[in-house]
Parts: sequence; structure tokens; C-alpha cells
Amino acid sequence: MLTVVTESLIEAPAVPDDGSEERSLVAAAARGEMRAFEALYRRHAGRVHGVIARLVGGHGARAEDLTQEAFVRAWQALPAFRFESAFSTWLHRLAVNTALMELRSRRSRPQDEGDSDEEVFDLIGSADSAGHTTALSMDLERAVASLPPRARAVLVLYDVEGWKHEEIAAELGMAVGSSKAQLHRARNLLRDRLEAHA
Amino acid sequence: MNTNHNDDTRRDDLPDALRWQLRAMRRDEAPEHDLWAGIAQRIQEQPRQVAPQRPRWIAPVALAATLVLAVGMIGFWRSGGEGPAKPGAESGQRESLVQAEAQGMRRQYQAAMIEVGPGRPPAELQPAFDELDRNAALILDALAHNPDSRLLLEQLRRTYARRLALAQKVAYA
Repeated sequence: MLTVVTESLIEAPAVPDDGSEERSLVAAAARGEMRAFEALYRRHAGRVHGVIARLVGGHGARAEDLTQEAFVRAWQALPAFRFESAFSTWLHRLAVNTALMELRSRRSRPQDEGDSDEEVFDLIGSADSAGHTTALSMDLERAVASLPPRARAVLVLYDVEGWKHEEIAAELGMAVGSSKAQLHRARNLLRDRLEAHA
Repeated sequence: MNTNHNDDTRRDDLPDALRWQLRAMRRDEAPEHDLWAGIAQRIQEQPRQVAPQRPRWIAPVALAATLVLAVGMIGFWRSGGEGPAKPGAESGQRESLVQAEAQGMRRQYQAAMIEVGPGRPPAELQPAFDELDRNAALILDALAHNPDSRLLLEQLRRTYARRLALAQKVAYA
């Protein structure tokens, strides 16, 4: 198992390095060339969509809408991009920010999606088309997706994306201590759910 | 990049296998649908809000404006801001001096902000901008009620200087 995982970690990234070609595309897109920006979209859509889907806990229309939003925001912000970091890093950060903004806006509308564990357990326990509860076939990805939004965001950013608590706290507008507490909570919930459905 | 080895994570440490599995979730996942058509449509409908290019001379000008704030305060302390309290009409004159200095400082600050430009701060810094603006307004209000207060004047200078420094940081980031 670990061998498989390790291999997947060291495999070559789908996106080539930020070499001269990427730099040229970014510069052209910043000047307003749509075809260059489309090429950047083709290169980076998977990475952007991947992190957004992990953060919002699903791969449906919501993740795709946010991916589209992230690229529109990237287009708007590109003229200010100064190559102080790799374009892929900048875009990844923008994608995370786009997803978190949506999470924050949902949090301000409690009727939409709260951090209520009861709601989440309701979702886990819902019956699928075969008449079995989805909980029975829960894997890690689904367990992560089932976490309360804020706890999930912290866990994904820390344990999956490798961010530091200071970065997470700044991005989520919370204290560093709150980020650590949310991670603790998320890990406990995750372990409990995985053990309960092992 | 975190290392996952600090004390905070040990307390609720994850099994290695789970840790690796979580890290392995970091992978590209192409959207099910091609989103480009929608993106292209949206960016054609929403022209870029191109921020005006700031000439390179602005940075020194804004720095100079900051210095004017500081030097103005030093001049104020040396001329009329120190010394024993004076009774009667002289006291009234000193009160107006504090207020005049506050108004002058405010004009210098506003001129400096124009030089720095109206750049929109990132969302995470907006609360800091709002708080500094709120503080400046409160201090000006307090000065109107207590026009003799050198302490308030100094607080106003510090608040303007912080606000200006933050705006410069955003403008030249």
C-alpha cells in the first residue's frame, strides 16, 4: 500500500515546470491573448479542479463552477502577476482562495450548510440506489468529503496540501490556535468514521 | 510546507499509513466537463479592470509624504507642543495649534494616499484597513472634543503612518 502511495507521490506532475514556454503564455495572457489563456487553462485545469474539489468535498457542479470562477479571477488578476512565484503556485493559491471564499459565504448562510455533525451524519447515512447506506462503502476520500466544511478545509490544507497553520489561519481568517483545534477535530472525526465503517 | 512533525500534531498523531494516504489525495482531477467555453464567455463579458500603472517616481514621493508627516510632528513638538501650560488666550492659541496641526496632518495624509493610489486591498487585509480608518475617524472626533490633546495628535500621526505604510505595502506588492 505504502509503495503504491509513494509512487503516486513522486510521479511527474501533469503540468510541466514553469519554463520559458509557460512564462510566454502567462505574459501573452496578461496582455489579453485569450488563446494563451486557454492553453494555461488546459495545462492547469486538473490541478485547480482537484484542489477545489477536495476543499468543497465533492466533484460535481459546485466544484466545476468554482473552477470556472477561479480561472475568471485568474484572468482578471493576471496583469498584476509579477512572476515573484511560479505561475502554478500563484494559480493554486488563487484556486484555494476561491473555494474558501465560497465556504465562508455559505457559513454566513447557516441554512445552506452548517458545521453540524448531525447534518453530516445524515448525509453519510443516506441510502444509495442499491438500498445500501453509503456509509458501508465509505473510503478515505468520501470520509474527508463528509467532514464539516471548516474542519475539512483545515485538514485538506494541512494534511493534503501541506500548508502551515499560519498560512491556513491567514487564509481562513482565523487564529492559529483555531486552525490547530480544527485540525485536531477533523482528524478525530476522520479516524472515528473510518474505524466505524472499516 | 508543513513537516507534520511539530508538537501540535503529535498529540493527535495520525497513523503513518493514513498520513500517506491523505498526502496521496493531492492529485490532479480534471473536471468532468470542458469548462473553457464558459470561462471564455465570462471573461469576454467582463472586461478587465486594468489598474493604472504607477510611475516609478511614486514610491519616493509617497515615502517623502510619510517623512513630511513625521517631520511635521517633530517641528510641532519643538515649536509649540512643549513647555509649561500657558493660561488664558495663549492656551486657546495652543489648542488651535493642535487642531491646525491635525488638519495639516490630515491633508498631508490624504495627499500621500492619492500618490499611493486607490488600489483595492486583498480581502484578508481589508479588516485592517477598515480598523485603521475607523481609528483615525475616532481620534479626529476625540480631538474635536479635546483640542488640547497632544496624545491624540500623536495617536493620529501613528494611525496615519500605519495606514499609509499598509497601503504602500499593498500598492507595491
